[in-house]
Amino acid sequence: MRKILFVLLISSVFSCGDDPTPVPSGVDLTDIAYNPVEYSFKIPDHFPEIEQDPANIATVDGVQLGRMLFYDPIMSKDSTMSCFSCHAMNGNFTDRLKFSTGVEGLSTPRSAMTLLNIGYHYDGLLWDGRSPNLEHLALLPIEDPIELNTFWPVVMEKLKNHDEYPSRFRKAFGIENSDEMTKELAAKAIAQFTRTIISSGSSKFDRVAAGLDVFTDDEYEGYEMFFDLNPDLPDAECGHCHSGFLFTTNEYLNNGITEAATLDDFSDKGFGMVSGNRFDNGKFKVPTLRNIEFSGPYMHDGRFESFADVLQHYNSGGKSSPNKNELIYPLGLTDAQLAKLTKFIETLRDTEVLNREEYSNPFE
Amino acid sequence: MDVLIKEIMLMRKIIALVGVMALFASCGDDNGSLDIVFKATYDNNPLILFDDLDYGDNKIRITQSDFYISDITLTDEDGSAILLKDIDFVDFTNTNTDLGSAESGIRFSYSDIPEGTYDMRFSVGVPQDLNSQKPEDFSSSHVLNKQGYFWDAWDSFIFQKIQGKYDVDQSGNFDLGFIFHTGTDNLYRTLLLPQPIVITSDPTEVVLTLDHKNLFLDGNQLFDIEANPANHDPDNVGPIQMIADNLASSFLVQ
Repeated sequence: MRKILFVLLISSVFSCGDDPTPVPSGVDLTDIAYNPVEYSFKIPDHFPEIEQDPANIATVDGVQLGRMLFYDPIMSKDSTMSCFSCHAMNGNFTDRLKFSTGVEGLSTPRSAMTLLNIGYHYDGLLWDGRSPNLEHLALLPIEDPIELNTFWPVVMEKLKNHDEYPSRFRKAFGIENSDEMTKELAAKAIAQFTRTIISSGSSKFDRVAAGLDVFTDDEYEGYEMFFDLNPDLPDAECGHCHSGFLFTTNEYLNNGITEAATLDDFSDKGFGMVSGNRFDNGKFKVPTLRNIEFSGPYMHDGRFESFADVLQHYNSGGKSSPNKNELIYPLGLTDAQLAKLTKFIETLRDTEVLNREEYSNPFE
Repeated sequence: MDVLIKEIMLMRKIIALVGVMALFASCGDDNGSLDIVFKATYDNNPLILFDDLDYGDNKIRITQSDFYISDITLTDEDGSAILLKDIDFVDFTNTNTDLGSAESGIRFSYSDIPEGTYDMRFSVGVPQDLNSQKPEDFSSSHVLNKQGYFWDAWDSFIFQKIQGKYDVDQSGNFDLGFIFHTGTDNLYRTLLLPQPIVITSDPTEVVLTLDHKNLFLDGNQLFDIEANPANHDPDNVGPIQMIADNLASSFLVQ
């Protein structure tokens, strides 16, 4: 036994000699104070608390760093684009394009989704749910050849050699040397920032719900049809998928926009590619209706230019496919009823959130 | 040095005591486990979603079937109750995609149950105290944090969803969708297993098979889906009342 211990001791001495503690080659940041202050989310009273990644609790400095990275073109191959290019504040955090265009002029296969209230999406992100959380999502566009088309090591090298970012990472995450700056920390910062993009709670719908305003007659009738509250009015079937404080169930459904003879005939399989279940082919995430008027064109492929086109689609009953949701059928709504539905949905307009200083480009 | 030795001795005594206590505790636990397996069938055959199923002279396809179960409780001969689970979700929609998974069913496991003979009951739906809340009142990992299972017009969770398609004219085109969602406190149903459950030191398994064809029985006849393909009219709760009332006769215990 003693011999074994001796051998182990000797071998450990040799192994220590083989593996000297690496000397950081980056910039020492310990002179910069690290005093993290937890970020206080601005959440409307009738919204629940945001659930954060316990390993990435938002701080004031973390959110600020994320905001800078979100807007800084340093994140792209040719320093022309960043996250905001496809998620612009004045487009309800979309680019209002059918398909987004990346640094090489190539088009994405799907339309950009809004980031409004994205922190409340716990069942996967993007149209097909392939990203589990914001920390993961923030990693994706950088190396996507259609989007920012660069490489994380290249981006991190630029950030490490930047005048300001090493100190920003220090303040956000307490790193002691610029060598400790990683893509994971950059993604965490961007996630912290995007998690703060929350409705203001000042839309007309919110004010009515709080007893501070009243619907017009048309808005109220639209509200009744939306949620099927009045047996004397037709059920517009909207509230099944667009409900709750986000006006989305966050589910993945086939809303009948694609004709498919069999479950295998969808050109874009959407959620089915992620779940591996062919019954999910052709399903896409139900988007929020909050500020929907600023988010067009609509659907995952931007096929509908106007919101009126969307309503006409649902009124028609959509196209046939084996897993088209059973709630998609010819509704028989009149033009006047569709107009009232639109009036109600417009009560979800929230211009305050689109003008908040804390979401704006810090470089302007 | 003496103090150090005394501390070491004391530590050894504590460790020995804890060990003996743990031994006695484990010896005293005559506990067993219970697995409850939910399976879906249609006319006594494993239910595979999107398969063509005979429905009288017509055919249907079931595309979605899931429901909340709650208050899964064992009651011993003295009347003492053990709550195994307050609420859970039986998701055939994402399970019954092929024969193998349909035959395997959905398994819920419970352990540390004292050996004995019990009556078992469970409910289909969301109990009143939980049904007075909303999905956002629960954490994202909770089974009730499903916005798609709350219906604002009822101010209630949706207890059970059965959706599918109906071949109206026997053409092979399943053009008519049907959608039955139960909910509200009135349609909360509690089911008592007809025979007692015996928990021993060996694992116990109970298989509960829900036959979906039975759910559509309106008396001795199959319910007329074509005439009532949905239950949205708040004045027409007949179809969902029928489904809720048929639960007891549609569950088979193995």
